[in-house]
Amino acid sequence: MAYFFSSVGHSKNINAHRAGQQAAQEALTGLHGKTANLVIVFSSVVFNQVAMLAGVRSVTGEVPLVGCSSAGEIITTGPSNKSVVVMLLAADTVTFNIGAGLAIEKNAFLAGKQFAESLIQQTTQGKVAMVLPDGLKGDGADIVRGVQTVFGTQFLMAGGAAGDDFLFKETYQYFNQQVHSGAVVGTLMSGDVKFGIGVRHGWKPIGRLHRVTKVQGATILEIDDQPAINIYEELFGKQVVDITTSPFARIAITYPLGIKVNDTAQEYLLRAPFSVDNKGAITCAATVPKQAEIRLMIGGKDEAIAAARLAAQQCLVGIQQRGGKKITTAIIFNCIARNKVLAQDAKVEIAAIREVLGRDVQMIGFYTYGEQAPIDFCDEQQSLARHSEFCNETVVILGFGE
Amino acid sequence: MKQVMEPITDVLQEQQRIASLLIQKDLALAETNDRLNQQVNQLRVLQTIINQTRCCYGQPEILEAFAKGLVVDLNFSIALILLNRPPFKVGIEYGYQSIPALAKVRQHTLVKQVYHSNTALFVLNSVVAVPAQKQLAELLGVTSLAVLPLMVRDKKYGVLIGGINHPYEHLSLADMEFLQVYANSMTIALESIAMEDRQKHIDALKSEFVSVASHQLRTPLSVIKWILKMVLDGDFTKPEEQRSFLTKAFHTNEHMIKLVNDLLDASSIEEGKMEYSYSDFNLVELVNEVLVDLKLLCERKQIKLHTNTEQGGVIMINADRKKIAIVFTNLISNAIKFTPANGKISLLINKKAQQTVEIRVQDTGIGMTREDQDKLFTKFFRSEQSKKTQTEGSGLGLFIVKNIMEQHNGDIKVASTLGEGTTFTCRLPLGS
Repeated sequence: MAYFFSSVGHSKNINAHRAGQQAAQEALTGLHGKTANLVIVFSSVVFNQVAMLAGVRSVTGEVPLVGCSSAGEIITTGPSNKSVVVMLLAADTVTFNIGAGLAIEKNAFLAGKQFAESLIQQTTQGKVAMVLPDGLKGDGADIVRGVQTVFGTQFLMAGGAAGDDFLFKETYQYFNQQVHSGAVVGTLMSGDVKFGIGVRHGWKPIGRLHRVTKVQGATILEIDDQPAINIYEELFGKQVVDITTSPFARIAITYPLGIKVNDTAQEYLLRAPFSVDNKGAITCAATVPKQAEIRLMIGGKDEAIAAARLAAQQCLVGIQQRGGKKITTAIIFNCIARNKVLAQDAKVEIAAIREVLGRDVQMIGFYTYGEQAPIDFCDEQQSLARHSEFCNETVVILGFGE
Repeated sequence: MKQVMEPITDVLQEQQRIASLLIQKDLALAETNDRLNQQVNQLRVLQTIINQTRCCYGQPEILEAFAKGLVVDLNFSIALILLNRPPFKVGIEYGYQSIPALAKVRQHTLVKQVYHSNTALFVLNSVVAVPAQKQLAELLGVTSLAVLPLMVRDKKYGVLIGGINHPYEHLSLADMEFLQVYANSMTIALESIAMEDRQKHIDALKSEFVSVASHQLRTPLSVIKWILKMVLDGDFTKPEEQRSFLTKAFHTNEHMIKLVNDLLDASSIEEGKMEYSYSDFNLVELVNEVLVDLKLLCERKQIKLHTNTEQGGVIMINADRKKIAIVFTNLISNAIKFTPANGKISLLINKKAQQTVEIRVQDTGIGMTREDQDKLFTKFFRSEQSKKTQTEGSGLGLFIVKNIMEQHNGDIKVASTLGEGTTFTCRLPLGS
C-alpha cells in the first residue's frame, strides 16, 4: 500500500549546531528506518543559521532540504519558541522537487518566476507546491503572481513567509545547505499526492468602510483621499502609532486591513501593514487593489480558534476528495498576529487543529509574516474555481494523507 | 438630500467612535494579558527550577538550571553567574552568543559595586542609560540588563547577571521584582548544598583528624617522651650527648607545632572558616620580606638563589598579605627542602596579559613522577620521592597553598621531571 510517512523532531539546545543536529536526529529516529525524501526545517533566529543548518545536514546528509526562519515554531504537541523543528517526509508515490528564486528585494515577481521555472524544469506534473518566501523584502502578492505566470492561475500552492521572532529585521530561507535572505524556496510535489489545503482567519471588520484612493503596489498612499495612516490614528490615537519606539508592524499586525474580494467570499482578504513612512503611506505585506473597499479588522481568541478548526476540516475534505483514507501529515503556516492575539491560548489553537485532524497526525509549522493559499474556495464543496493568493492573519494547513 | 445624509453621517461617526473605544480597550487588554502571561510564566519557570534543584544537585547543576531558566524559558539573551569576590570566577556563561568582553565585565566598577553594596543594578534600556551603564551593556552585548547580588545572611556567593539583546523588548519594573526573587532562590539553593557539603566535610574531618593524630603525632611524641625519660633517668653520661638529644627533641617539637598549625589551617579551609582580610600591597616587597629568612637556609645548603625582585619594582595586588606570605614561604622552603646542595632555585615575578601576575618558582631538586604531580595538591599527600629521601612534611602545605590561591581567584600549576627539578607557576589577578 502506498504510504506517506512523516516524523518530527524538535530541539531547544542553545548551541546552534547541536540544536539542528538534535532536532534532525529525533525526526530520523521517528522514521523507523524509512528513507526520507524531503527535509523541512523551521528555526528561530536566535541560532546562527548556517551552523544550525549544518547541524541538520550532519544527520540528514544529501536529502533535499527546504525551510525558513520563523517567529515561533509549531510541532505536533503545540507551539514552541527559540527552537529548531525538523520534519522528514517519506513517501513512495510522491516525488518532491525543490527550487529557489532569489533577489526578491530587486524584483519579487521575477523571484517568484525564477522559483517556479526551476521547478517546472524538473517536472511538469506538479500537483501542489509549498512556498516559503521572504516576507519583508518585497511584495508577497507579486511573488505569487510570478509563480502563477509559470504554473497558471489555477495552480495550488500553500506556504508562509519567513519570520524573525517579531523583530521585523531580516528573515532567512534554507535551500539544502544554503542560507538565503530575500529568497523564495519551496517544494513541488508530483505523483499520487493526496493533499488538502485549509485556510481561514476569523478576523472581523470594525469601524466604517473606507476606499483606497491612491495605491502603488503594496503601498497605500491615500485612503478616502487622506494620508493612509489616518485610518489607524483615528482609531488608535497618535501616540500608539508612534513608530519611533517600535516598528509599526508590531502594533498594527493584529489589526490588519480587510479587502472585500467579492460578494460570495466568506471572509475578507487581509493585508498586514508592515511599515509607514513620514507622509503617512502604509506599506503592506502584499499588493492592495486600486479602489478596493477596505475596513479595519479585529481578531478575537474564540474566532481565531474557531477559524483554525474550520481550516482543519477543510484540509481533511481536500484529502478525502483526492482519495486519501487517512491524514498522516500536516504543515501549518500560522500568522504571527494569531500568536499575539491568542497569547497563552496559542496552544489551544494548535490543540484544536490536532483534535480535528486526529491524534495520529504528525504536525510541523511556524508563525509567519504572511501566508499563501488558494482562496475563494471556502465553500465545503472545495470548488476548483479558486486561485492562490497572498494572505495575512491566516492559518493555512497543508495536509497529506495516504 | 441633505436631510437624508445627515443622519447617515451621524451613524457613521458613531460607528467610528465605538470602533475607536473598542480598539483602545482591546489594546489595553492585550497589554494586561501580556504582562499577566509573562508573570505566570516567570513563576512557573522558577517553580520548576526550584523543584529540580531541590533533589540533591551539586553547585554546577544549580548554576546551569538557573542560567538556562533565564535564557531558554524566560526572555533573556545571556545569563552570567560570577562567583566569589571581585574580579570573580566565572560560574557559568550561558546564551546563544558568547559575551564580547567577559574579562572586562568581571572587572567592571558597577559589577563590583553590586557585590560590595549588596544592591541590585537594573539598566532597563541602555540607549538612555548613563555612560558607565551603557558601557557595561556593550561589554555584555545587550540592550537591557540586571546585575543581582547573591547573598544570604552574611555570606556572599557573587553576582548573577542577566541581559536582553533586543531593539524593542526591555526589562520592565515588574521584572525587577521577579529577578530579585529569582536571585534569592538561587542563593538559597547554593547555600543549602554548601551547608550539606560542610556538614559532610566536618564529619570527614573529625575522623581524619583522629587518624592523623594517631599516625603523624604519635611517633614524634614518643620520640620526645623517650628522650625526656632518658634525661630524667640520667642515661646520658656526656653533656654534649644529652645536648644533641635535647636538640633533636626540640626540632621534633617544632615540627609538631607546624603540623598542628597546618592541621588547624587545613580544617578551617575545609569548614570555610578561614578568614581573609584584603588590602592593596606591593607583591615584590612582600616576596623580598619572605626571602630574608629563607636566603639563610639557601646559603647553609649552598643553594644558588636567583630572583628578579631584588631590584625592587611595584606590582600591586589586592589580597590577604599574610596568606600570600604563607604561599611563598611554603613554595620556597619546599624548593630548598628538595634541592640538594649546590643546586639552583629561581623565583621570577612577571606581569602577564589580562591583568594577571605570574610567579614562577623553579628548582633543580629531586622532581616527581606524573602520577605524583596529579595528587600533589591533595591533603596529606607526600610524593614517593619525598618519602624515599625521608624529607619531613605533613603533606598539608601545598593543599593550603592551592586553597589560598583559589580564594584569591588565582591558580597554581606544577611541572616536574623526576631527578631534574620542579616548577610551580602561580597566577594572581592584579589589583585595580
